Amino acid sequence: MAARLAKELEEARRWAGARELRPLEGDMRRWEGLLLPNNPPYNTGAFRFELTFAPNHPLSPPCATLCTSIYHPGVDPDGHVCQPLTSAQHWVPTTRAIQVLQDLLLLLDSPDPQRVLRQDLARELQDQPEVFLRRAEEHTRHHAEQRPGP
Amino acid sequence: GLYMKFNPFLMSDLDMSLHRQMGSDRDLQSSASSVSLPSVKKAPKKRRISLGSLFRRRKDTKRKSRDLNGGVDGIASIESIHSEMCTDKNSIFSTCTSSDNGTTSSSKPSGDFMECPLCLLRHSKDRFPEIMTCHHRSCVDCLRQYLRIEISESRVNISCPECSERFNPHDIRLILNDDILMEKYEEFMLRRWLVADPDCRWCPAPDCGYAVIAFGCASCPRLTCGREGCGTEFCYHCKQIWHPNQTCDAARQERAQSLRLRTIRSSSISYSQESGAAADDIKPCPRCAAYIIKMNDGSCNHMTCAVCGCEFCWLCMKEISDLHYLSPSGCTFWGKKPWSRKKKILWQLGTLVGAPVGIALIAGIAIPAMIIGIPVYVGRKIHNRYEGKDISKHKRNLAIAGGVTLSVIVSPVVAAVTVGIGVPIMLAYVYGVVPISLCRSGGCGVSAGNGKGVRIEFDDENDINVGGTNAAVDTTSVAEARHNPSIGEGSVGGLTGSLSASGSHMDRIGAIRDNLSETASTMALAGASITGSLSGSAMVNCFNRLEVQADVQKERYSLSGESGTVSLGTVSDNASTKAMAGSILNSYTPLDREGNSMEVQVDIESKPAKFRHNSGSSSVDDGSAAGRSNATCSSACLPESKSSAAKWSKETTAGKKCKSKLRKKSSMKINETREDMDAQLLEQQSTNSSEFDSPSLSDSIPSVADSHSSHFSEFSCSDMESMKTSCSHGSSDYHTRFTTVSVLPEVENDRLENSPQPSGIPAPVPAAPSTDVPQLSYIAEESINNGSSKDVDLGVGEALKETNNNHSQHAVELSTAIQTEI
Repeated sequence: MAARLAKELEEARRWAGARELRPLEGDMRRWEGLLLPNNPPYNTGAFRFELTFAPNHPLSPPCATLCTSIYHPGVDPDGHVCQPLTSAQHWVPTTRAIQVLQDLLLLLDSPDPQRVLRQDLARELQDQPEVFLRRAEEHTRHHAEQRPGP
Repeated sequence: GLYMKFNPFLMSDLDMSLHRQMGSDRDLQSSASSVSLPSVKKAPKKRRISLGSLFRRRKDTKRKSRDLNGGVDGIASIESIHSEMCTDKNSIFSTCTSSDNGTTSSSKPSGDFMECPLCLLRHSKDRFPEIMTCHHRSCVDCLRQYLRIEISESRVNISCPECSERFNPHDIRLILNDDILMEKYEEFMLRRWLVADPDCRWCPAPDCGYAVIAFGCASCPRLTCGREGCGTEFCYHCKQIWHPNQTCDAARQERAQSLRLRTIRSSSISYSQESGAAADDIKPCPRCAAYIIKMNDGSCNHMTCAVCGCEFCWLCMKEISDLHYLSPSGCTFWGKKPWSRKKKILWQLGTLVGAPVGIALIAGIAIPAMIIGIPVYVGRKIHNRYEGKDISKHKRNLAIAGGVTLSVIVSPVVAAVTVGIGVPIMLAYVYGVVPISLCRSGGCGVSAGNGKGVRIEFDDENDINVGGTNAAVDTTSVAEARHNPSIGEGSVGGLTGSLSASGSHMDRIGAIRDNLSETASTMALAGASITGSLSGSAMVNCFNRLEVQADVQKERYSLSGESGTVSLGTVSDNASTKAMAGSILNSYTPLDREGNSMEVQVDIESKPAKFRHNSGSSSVDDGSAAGRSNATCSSACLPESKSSAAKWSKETTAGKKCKSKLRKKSSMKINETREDMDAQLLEQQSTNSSEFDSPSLSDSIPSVADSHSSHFSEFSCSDMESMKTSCSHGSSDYHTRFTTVSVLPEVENDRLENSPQPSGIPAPVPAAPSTDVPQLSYIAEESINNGSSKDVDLGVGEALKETNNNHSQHAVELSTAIQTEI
């Protein structure tokens, strides 16, 4: 399904939510890029992600992970996210890579209480949002990558 | 989890053929014909309008001749029809493509292009096969690959890649164009269905993949594998090699010892390592008991079973709701171990007990604070306000005093209102939302109300202690036996060992339960031949069984990681002592019902209700006299006193007691899970008649669930009969098998709908099996007809209404066959 991957890469590159999208080490099945969240506290930085496709793409779902450390209740310390879109149960082969990335960005921008992987952060966000925001901003400043210019 | 696999290793090890332990050739062949014909017939009418005439003509001629035949002739004709249809369709494919290719190589008919949503490439329209079930189109290569992958991963509920409409198997066959894969597909379909059949027994011989549907064999538990060259005899109850003069338990202990002696431990462990999975990576699905391996690729603990679709938590192996990971149930997304039972109970009790304390504290501080603070605050404000003003000191003091007095009056009111509103809100949260989320996620021993969780726990242990006195002597030996084979076997048993090690009392509970179950079934075995002693032992039986019932019930309610796995352990222990090849799939399902006669009710919550009903009542058979399986099926659930079942009266009343108790708690869940289960069963069907069945089914279930389980189980027993008779010899008639698979859920659905009516069936016991089966085949035919054209079979509707029908067509062979079995 290399043709499809090439097309999807093209489509995803035209999307404004991600930058520097490229296959890792020439492997079309492993993409890397920078996600640019729009909402505070993450909108000051860019977060590197990896998108790994299955050999029989699109029949099996890809797997999206975050490489940059982020203070977010839906992202665990290893960078995994809970993404129903790419779970084996919900995946449909007509889902395109750009939609996966859009879903990931949406998760970063608006944490979903159903997709929480860190209870402590979720509770903090719920009970003390200002504390959470402050910490998240600080974390973003320390760990996130530089946002590339427009 | 992000990725889950049904273990191919376990599947590939099996011989891919199945066999029924019946000799008759009579089967649902005519119903098979009725299944394939309508679906085949539909396609031409709907889609191939241009070629409809061609189809219709050919179909009509064939069909007329077929209707008059039955039996073997029917099968042969169906095959020929199907192959003709296949070639017809294939030829249509080829003619289309050839005609297209024939015109010019490069220029195709203009405007006849479509982009395939899977490969995102444009193809000519003829490369998009017509699918019956939906309007989505993908190119044939993508579809073929998609089907190939789905089948190889044994996912037989294959749906369209874009929507959730199941593929019609004919479409699958045509698209696949691969006989081997199609065989696999039908094999998996059959296997799926068998997994849910509690009467199905897998031959424990090492290389034998044959299964036996053992109907009514509880009293005569010696089963013989029907495969030529195998002929292994094994026990119906414990599914191990036949042990003529021992109880199942004793035989297992002996086997465990010999296993230990032969130091098979290393080979077992390497066996499991070969498969590439550690012991704790394979767990059975809580609903359908299909074994699932969780790949250690960092996926989370929220699993969805590929077989039945139930969502559960990998750590605690319970079905979960969305709130499972948010409430203090002990399971996190990426955790590797659930909380220990103690920690869990501690957390829950802490929340419930600590909440009023905390709330009281808050209230106790808030009220005085407000009462004092408000006047002080008001006073200071007034003081500050009048600070700069030019008023006499006297007036200022007066103002301050007035303000303070006012606030002293007002503040208690304000404080009371605040507390009166805030405290109920907090209480509602702690005692309403948290327990609801806990209970919704399967219950952790805590129900609404303070300390009830504690009570349930203790009841568990009390009951077990009471019941355990009978078996205290055997506790250690049983526990030992349970552990040793688990160590010896390695793979699944390891799970038992690792998880049960952490709670000694839970071990004992599990051991006692295991022992009780074994005692019950072994006593049942002994009593089969000697009815006199049976009545004596039946009392003890009942007592034990009662304990087991309570035990099981409460365990299910007060489920924590450990108790759940203890029950798992007892099950998987027996599983591990069986031969691995071909037997693991079903070990969980049938085993669970062995000693737990009333597991019927309990399992409704967590397991497929339909089959549990069947299994529960069948297990009562264990102690009944020979040949009374049908009767006792019903007597288990209905308090009818039968002649030879009088000795079971205590048990039935006990059962009824438990039943009513359970029903209060779980009636809603029963209905829900039954509907779920039936929805799943419907999903199993791949014919188009599923849509037809579903509306009527869900309506009839709640009314049926409570009191007609006996009829249901009874019919299911008959189901097995007909299954046996239908797939007679090893002539691997995939078409028949496939259609039989799809037939049966429908049959059972119809059964449910009509169950209130045939209450007279249990009465004529000896005649019941034989008459049920022909009734069954007609029912099957009728159900199929419901979803399709009416011209296939005649007057079948009446067959359903008759309880003791006199149809001669199949009765003779069937009855003889059945009686040999019984």
